[in-house]
Amino acid sequence: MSILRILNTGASGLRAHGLGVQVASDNIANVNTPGYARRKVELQANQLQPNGPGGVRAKDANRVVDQFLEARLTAARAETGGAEAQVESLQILDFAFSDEAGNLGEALGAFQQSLGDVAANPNSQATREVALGRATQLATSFQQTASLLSEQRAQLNGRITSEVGEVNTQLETIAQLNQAIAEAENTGQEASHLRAQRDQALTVVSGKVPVKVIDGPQGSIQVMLNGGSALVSFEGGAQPLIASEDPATGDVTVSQIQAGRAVDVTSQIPNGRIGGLLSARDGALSQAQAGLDQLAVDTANAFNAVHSAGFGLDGVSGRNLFTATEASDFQLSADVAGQPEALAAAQDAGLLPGDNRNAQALQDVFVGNVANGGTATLDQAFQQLVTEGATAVQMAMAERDQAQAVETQATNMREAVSGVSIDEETVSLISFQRAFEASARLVSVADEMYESILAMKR
Amino acid sequence: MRVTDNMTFDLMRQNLLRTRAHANEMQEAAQRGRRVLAPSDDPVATATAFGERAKEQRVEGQLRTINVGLGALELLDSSFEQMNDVMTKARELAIQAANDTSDAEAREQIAQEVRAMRDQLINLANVRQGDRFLLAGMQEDQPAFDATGSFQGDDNVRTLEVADGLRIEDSVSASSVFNAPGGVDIFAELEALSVALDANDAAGIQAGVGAMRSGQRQISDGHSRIGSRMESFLVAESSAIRVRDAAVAAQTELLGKETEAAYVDFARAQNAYQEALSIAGQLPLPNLLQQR
Repeated sequence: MSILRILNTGASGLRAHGLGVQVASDNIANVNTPGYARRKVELQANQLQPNGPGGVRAKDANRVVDQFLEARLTAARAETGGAEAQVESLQILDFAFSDEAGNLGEALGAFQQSLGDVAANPNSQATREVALGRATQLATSFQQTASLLSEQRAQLNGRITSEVGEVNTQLETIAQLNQAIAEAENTGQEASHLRAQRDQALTVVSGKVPVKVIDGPQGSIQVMLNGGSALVSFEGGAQPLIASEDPATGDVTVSQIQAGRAVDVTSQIPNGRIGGLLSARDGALSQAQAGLDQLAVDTANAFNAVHSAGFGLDGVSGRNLFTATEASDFQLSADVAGQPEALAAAQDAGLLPGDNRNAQALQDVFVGNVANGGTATLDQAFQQLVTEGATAVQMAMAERDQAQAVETQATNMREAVSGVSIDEETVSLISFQRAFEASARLVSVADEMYESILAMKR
Repeated sequence: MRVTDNMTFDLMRQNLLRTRAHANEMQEAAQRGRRVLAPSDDPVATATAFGERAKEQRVEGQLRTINVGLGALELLDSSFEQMNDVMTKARELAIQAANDTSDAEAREQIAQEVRAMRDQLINLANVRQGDRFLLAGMQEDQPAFDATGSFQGDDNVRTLEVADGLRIEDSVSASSVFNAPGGVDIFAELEALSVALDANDAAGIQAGVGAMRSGQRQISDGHSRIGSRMESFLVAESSAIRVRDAAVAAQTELLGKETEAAYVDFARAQNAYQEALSIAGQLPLPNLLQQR
């Protein structure tokens, strides 16, 4: 029997179970810390030697992490970030094409009615003025809708730039933490709090761009875009993304300096918030803008073809009603603006002022297939625009709901493995506390035994 | 499966947010009486409703045109009714003057009456709607007839669109009434009659009796054509009203929501939110740490 050995055994218990209490209290304190993975103390019996140490030692206090679930959650965050960004970006289409008064459809209908009034009173200055007023409202409606969409495009480009900046900040943080973790663990220090901070930064990045995470040397992680471009490596540190604006279109693309030259990595970002913003801009928003421009040009061309063939009250022919190269510059032609008598309601200058046939032909533009390459009426083309925009929003919402559900499931699965349960930690706390108390008692017993032996001499 | 405290709180947060959002949506639906609050709620219904709204607007425009046309025809109807009375009176006077008992003095008086009737008839033929002389054809900005009864307009008759692709004339050709082919020149015949009366020309007066009969028939025929066009406009109007009402009903059907259903759904959504709140109020669940 070795009293010293009993003393050492008690001391090892105090160390191991003290660590257990410390880890349990850390876990409880971090119960609400985002990205925190609970730590678990693993005890191991020390090998008994003839005069060896025996007792117990805390083998490790590892973070409880399932790499598969972490990767799944990282991917789910990117999907959710992308889908949410798409919904936020495309909801403008719901507003631009809503059925509230003042929209493009209403403006088309009001203009049509005013042409009917001119056809019923071709010699009336008042009805002609109203018709030009309605034509101006139609132009304003085209311009306002175009402006809504182009402002949204500009905002999306601005948000892409700012999101890229935020990603770069987090990439730099991850690179710094890679170094700090390596230094800490190389000197035997505990680095779980640094790993938790790195996970938090990674959570932000994975919500903005789709990434793959690979374990690197010395506790580091390597972060890559799904397409393979490295964002963070242990050796190279953070390799930032660059948001570049095309001076002609104002559109932002995302690139990265690789081997000394800028490489466009936009295509490697199909989701995450940045991917969602890019998809919304280049997908449904572009389609809506192109559709609106086409409708504006078709409207102008169809009315001009009829109007220029007719005669105004002044007997002049060959004047256009509108000018438009796209929706944003759709306006009343200078030939007729402010000149009600120039509105060509007649088909025969000899039958002025009562000839209303060209006004009726202008009305007929609304029932002819003059839009989308002669396949649709103006109303149908507008309805198609509404359907496409609304369907894009609806699909984005459905994708968002699905992505959120998948992320919730992935979060729960990760939480089930790595999350902190206060009940569980309390049990650990009690267990380690009791063991600590028992170890302390063991030291007392050994001490008492020494006292007993010393007392034998007295 | 391990259930952590965060999982419990996340579930509570999600349920509260979801039930609150749904309650808000149902409240808006009830307040606005709408099932479709944004195009993305039902893109096809929204686009179809836009089509129905466009139809409603188009038909509203056609109804306005129909009203203009009916207004013109009502004025013409009234004018022709009065012209018919004038021609009836002119024919009666001609018959009275043709009678052997009328002497030269009486015929002179009748001649004056006939001249007044001719002026009245010219005035009635120059019926106008606002600035438009309805019987002047396309030359509508000037009277159809001058003071001598000479026609100053043209024979074109304007049409109005009363339905898609359907156009109806809102007047009649003046020459087809006052100088109809195979008929008489009414104003010239009235002038001839008054000249014959002044001249105490029995044969001329007798000829005038026949001319007045023809003239009256021409006016009556014109009146009938106006009546027939009014009938067409009225049929078009009732058809347009039906189409418009159907378009309005279709929009309500596509986008609207019955009040009862809207309030039931709102109440249900509110209950769900209150249930979620009530459950949330019971959190946090007691844990072992609190028991120690």
